[in-house]
Amino acid sequence: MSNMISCKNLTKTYGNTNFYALNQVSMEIEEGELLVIVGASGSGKSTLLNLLGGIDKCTSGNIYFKNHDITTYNEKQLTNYRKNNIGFIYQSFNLIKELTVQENITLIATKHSNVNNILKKVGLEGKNNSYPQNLSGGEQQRVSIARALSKNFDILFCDEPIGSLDTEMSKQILLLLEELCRKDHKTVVIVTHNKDISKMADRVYTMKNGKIIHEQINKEPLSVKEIEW
Amino acid sequence: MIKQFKIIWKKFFKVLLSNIIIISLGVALLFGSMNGLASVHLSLDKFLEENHYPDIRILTDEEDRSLLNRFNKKNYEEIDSRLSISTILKKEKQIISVKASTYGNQNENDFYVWKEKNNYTKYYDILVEKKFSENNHINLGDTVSLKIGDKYYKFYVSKIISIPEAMVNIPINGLWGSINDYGNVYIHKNVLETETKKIKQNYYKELNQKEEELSKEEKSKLEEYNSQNEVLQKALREYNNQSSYYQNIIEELNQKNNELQTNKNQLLELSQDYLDTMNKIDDFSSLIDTYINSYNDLSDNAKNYIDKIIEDKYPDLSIEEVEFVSDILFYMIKGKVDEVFDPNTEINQQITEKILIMDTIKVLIDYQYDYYRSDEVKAVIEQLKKKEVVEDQLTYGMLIFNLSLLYSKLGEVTEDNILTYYEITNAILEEIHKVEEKLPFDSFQELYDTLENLKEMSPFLYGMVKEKYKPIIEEILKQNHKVKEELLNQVEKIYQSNKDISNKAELIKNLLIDFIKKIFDDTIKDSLKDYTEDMSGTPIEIIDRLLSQIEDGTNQANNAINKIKKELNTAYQTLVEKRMLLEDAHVLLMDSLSKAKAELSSKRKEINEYKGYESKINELLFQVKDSVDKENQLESIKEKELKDIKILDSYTYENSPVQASVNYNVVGLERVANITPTIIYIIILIVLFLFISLMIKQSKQEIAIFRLLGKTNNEIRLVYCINNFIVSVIGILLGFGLGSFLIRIITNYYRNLLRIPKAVYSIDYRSIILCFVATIIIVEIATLLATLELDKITPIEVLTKEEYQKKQTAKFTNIITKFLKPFPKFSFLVYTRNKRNFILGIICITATFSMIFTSLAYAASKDKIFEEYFDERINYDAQIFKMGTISDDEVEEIKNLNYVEDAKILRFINTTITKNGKKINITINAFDDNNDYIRIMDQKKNQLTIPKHGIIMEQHIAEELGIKKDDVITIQNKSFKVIDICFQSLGRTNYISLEDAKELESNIDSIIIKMNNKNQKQLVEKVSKDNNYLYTVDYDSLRKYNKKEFDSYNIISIIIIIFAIAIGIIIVLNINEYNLIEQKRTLAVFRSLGFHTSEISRNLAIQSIIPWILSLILGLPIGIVLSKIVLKAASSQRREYIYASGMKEIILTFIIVGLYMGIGHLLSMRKLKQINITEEIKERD
Ligand SMILES: Nc1ncnc2c1ncn2[C@@H]1O[C@H](COP(=O)(O)OP(=O)(O)O)[C@@H](O)[C@H]1O
Ligand SMILES: [Mg+2]
Repeated sequence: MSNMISCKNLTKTYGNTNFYALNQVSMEIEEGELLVIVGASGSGKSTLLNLLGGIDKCTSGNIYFKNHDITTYNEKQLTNYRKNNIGFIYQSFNLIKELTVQENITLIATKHSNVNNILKKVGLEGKNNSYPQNLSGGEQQRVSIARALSKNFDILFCDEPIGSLDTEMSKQILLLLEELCRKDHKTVVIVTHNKDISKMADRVYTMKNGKIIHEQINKEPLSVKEIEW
Repeated sequence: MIKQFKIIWKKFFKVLLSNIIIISLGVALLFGSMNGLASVHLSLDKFLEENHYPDIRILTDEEDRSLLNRFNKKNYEEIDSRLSISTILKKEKQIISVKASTYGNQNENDFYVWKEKNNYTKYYDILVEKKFSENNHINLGDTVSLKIGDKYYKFYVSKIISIPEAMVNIPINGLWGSINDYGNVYIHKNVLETETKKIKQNYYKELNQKEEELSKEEKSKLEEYNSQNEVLQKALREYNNQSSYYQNIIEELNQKNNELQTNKNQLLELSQDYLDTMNKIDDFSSLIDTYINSYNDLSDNAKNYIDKIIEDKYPDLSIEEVEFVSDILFYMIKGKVDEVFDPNTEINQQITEKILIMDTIKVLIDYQYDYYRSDEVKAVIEQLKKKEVVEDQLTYGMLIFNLSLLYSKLGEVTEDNILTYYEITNAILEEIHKVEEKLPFDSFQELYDTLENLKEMSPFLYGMVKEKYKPIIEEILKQNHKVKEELLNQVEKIYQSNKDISNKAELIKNLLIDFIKKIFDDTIKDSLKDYTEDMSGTPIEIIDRLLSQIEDGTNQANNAINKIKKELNTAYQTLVEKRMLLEDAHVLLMDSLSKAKAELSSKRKEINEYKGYESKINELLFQVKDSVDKENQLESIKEKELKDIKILDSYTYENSPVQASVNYNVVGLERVANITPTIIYIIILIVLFLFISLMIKQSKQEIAIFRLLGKTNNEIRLVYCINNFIVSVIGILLGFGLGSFLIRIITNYYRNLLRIPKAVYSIDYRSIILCFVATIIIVEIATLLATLELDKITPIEVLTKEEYQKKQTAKFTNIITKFLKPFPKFSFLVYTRNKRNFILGIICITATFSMIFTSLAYAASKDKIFEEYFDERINYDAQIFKMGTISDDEVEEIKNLNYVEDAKILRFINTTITKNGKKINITINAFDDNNDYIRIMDQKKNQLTIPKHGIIMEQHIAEELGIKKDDVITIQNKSFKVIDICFQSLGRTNYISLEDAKELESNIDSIIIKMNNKNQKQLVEKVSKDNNYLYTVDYDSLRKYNKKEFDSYNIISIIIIIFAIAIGIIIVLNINEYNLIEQKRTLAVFRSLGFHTSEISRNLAIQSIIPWILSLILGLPIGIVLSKIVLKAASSQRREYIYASGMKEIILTFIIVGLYMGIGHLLSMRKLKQINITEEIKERD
């Protein structure tokens, strides 16, 4: 397994405050692994994810993606990085409500992706022309996964993907993410404050007050079905 | 409430700022244009006041100043009279046309002095107008020469001045144009007076001499004419006498001929009568034939009928008698008529014996007579009775009988008659039947039949009866058969005899016709006795004879008439020849007389011209201060006090050329400047309405909360109203500031254009009030309209906001996304557009589009009419003006100059025309047209040719007077038919041919010239040597000069375009920013997905194409209508702006709008980069 993305002494402060949202964080993500980041609300998980995903800029430190330091990137390079390498999933889905499922998915699709295949993969066959507000939360989240899948990302960042879903729906989304990682060998990073989920990960980082305070390696991660809720 | 303001200002600072700017722009334009143009007028008034510009100006050539003295100070504050001449000024080699006027001791200070030299000699000083001195490089202290009379006098340039007259671009009343090297100069009164006095004296000496010569010549010519005319008149009288004598003879002859003709006609009528009657007889005989035929059809059984009738009618006859008569009749009918009437026959003897024959006939006649009461029949019978030609009673009886028999059939053919025949036939049949009935055949047969029956029933009984009756029955039967056969035979015989009777009738008929004919011929002959004594032959022969006699007579008469006519003709021809000779003589006489008259009148004209071109004209200048009605003052001066003073020209302050010139330049623009703020105010209304609506929409949450806290909608509305009041006050104040700049720009601009030396800025307090009130009203209307939205806000719905927003956007975006679906690259951001903003944008951009287009259309139209005048209409290079008539020799002289290609006379006739109760001054150009020097065109650009007899009227003048093509108008008592209507955007000139113009009083003549070389100087030099020429115009420099002036009108267009762009950018900026603010989160999602800001920006920009194109589609028709309205408003009396925009203006407008949209877009796109992605996509709940 090779190193997909890593960071060194990553620090983020907002404004001129002395408050560190991230404080000297160093970590790495291996290719094809399923990484879970847990931590209390406000511990800096989202901040870390945003920095790694190139949608925010750090105050200091370095982020290496495939040996390129993305902290040196200009806006254009960063955008290309987001466009070509990163997939994002949010707690509130962030779908465009004015567009149909298919239109949402194809927004930034690469040329070769097939909408129907992707929809089939996420279990939403035939929903091409539905509008997001007519779907359940779980289905909406699947659409956002499908949107990520349409552009053939290297790494999928999921910020609280099941934060607004009930148990049954959460399970289905996690199954999908698990499948992406285990079957399709995608690198998947899941941020959550739910510690149970960490049982399905290859590796688990625990964050507190802007620092990674613990790293745990599961030699034999459980499958989602095996986790008790 | 203050908190609410705080929220509004904090949240919508930029919108409010935009509102303020837009309001201030509108106010500035309204305020600026109102006061700017008012300041122009004020500056002019001030300048004219300072320069003692006259309130009333009268032009006269009166010399006697004492005549003018009676006006002095009695009614008028100040009266001034000055001399002025049109002459030539020379500076080194420069030769320039000028009008030199005098200044006296008093009016020395009447000029605005720019520069002044102190060491001057006073007497030979010359004051030169500033612009003129600049144009011609005349400086203070220069020495120039001025031509007075035949000599040049040296003058010293002592002052450079500004004078109102220099503002006038119209040197000759009515002629449009500007002469840049025609100037006004002023010299001392005494100089001009003394010099002109000398010249004048000489002129008058010459004039008197000429006049004396002329009157002598005139007298002798008239005498000669009168004597010749007398002879002619005598000859004419004689001719008339002769011709009336011959006329009488011809009349008499004609009368006689007519009499003969009437005679002939009468005879012809008579013969026609005869022929008609003969025809009637023919008809009659054929009628008889018809009756004979019908008679043939009658059965001889009529006898029975006759018997019966006789029996009925004459019951007193005994049965034997009846039988006897009836037998005779029957006998006769059977064809034995001859026997009846033959005395040797038995029957005749029987008849004679019984002496019954006459009675019988009588009975028969009575019967017929009674039965057919025909008058004709009666008449004929009576006639026949009278005739005692019958010797033998029997013959007579037979004739009567047959006739009566026949006449019974010849009676009137009526339906009754036919019915009678039918009745007769029926009666006969009945009779036959009756006879049959009497025979006992049937009863016998019955008996016989009974017997036969009995044979079967009882053979015994049968045998008995048979035995008894058989022989009797058989006998009876036998007898019956016999009787029956006999009867049938008789009937058969009667039928046979019928034919004979018909033959007899035929015979009688012929007899009768001959008889009638004879009687008729006699009566005709009787009537012919009136015409001739020779009664031999038939009437027709007599008539023929008579007719041929008349024919002979007529021929003879005709021959006689012809002969006389021939003689008359020859006599008449000699008369006509004589007359022609007389007429020729008359024409020759008239010709020589009119030639003499023309000669005389031309000479008289010469004298008049000589008088007209005295070059010494007094201008009376009245300074009437505070006069209420200068126009009436002028009229009263004309009427009462100046009766013995000849007024050449006059005007008042209000209608002076200076005012006209200013109005000409400013009035049109004033109207445009009035329309534009109106449009801007409409835009303000729309923009504010939409911006405020936007604010309210954006503030729904806050409003809902305020409502929940217990505020009413009206309270919230009041907040907006007060807030926008504050906004408008700020905007108005800013607008006044900006407007003040505009006032300065406009005033100075026109001051320069009109050459007013000093500007006076004025701000009318009414304009302040107007701006204030209008703006506040508009803003508050917009606010109230927009706050209607408040009533739609229900707090609950707003606070569960997701639902609410979904409803708002879906429908609108669906339409556009559907529309753009085939182009996913352009469509993916469509829904980020807000419907209201989108419409707001389109309306405002459309409005600015139409404003910009209108401005450009105005500029285009201006160029167009300029071109039309200088490039299409005028096609000559120079023009020389002269007071009075130019002769062909003079034209020839100019033509012969080596730098002149060709030259032609162009005459000016300034006159008044009255039609339909309207009276206006018009200018007529007279020249011989070949479409080469001046192109006259109608509105469709068809070239018109000057007619030989008639006038081409200018369309505007024609419309004003209600004149149509083919109307006849009267100019100076001469009739002109309107042959064509021409169209001119600039100037209003009518055209007639030079020939026709000779009969009108002309004012100014000119020679229009095409030059080989465009340098006019040589021409001026040449012309200046001649006393009579006024000045020359070089059209090349005139064109350049006017082009400059025309281009200067662009200022209004430029101001409007700048304002439109400013407003446009503000609107686009605001709309785009609000789109971004509203859609921040979505845009952040896009950014996080990896879309470049440039991609998003480009996409949004491409989407702006929709409003851009829509603004073209909507704005263009509005713009076209608007520009037509504006052009109409900008048009003045002498200048009509015609719509002339083409693709160029459309494209240019489109590009300008595109550019400012682009700029607005780029400015707002900076916001896009500032969007914080993490901030926006962060979880909100
Ligand atoms: N835009 C911001 N400005 C100031 N503080 C922020 C901002 N975003 C996040 N923070 C602070 O940074 C810390 C980490 O936040 P975040 O990474 O969102 O936590 P988590 O995702 O673990 O709940 C929190 O204390 C939060 O208050
Ligand atoms: Mg978080």
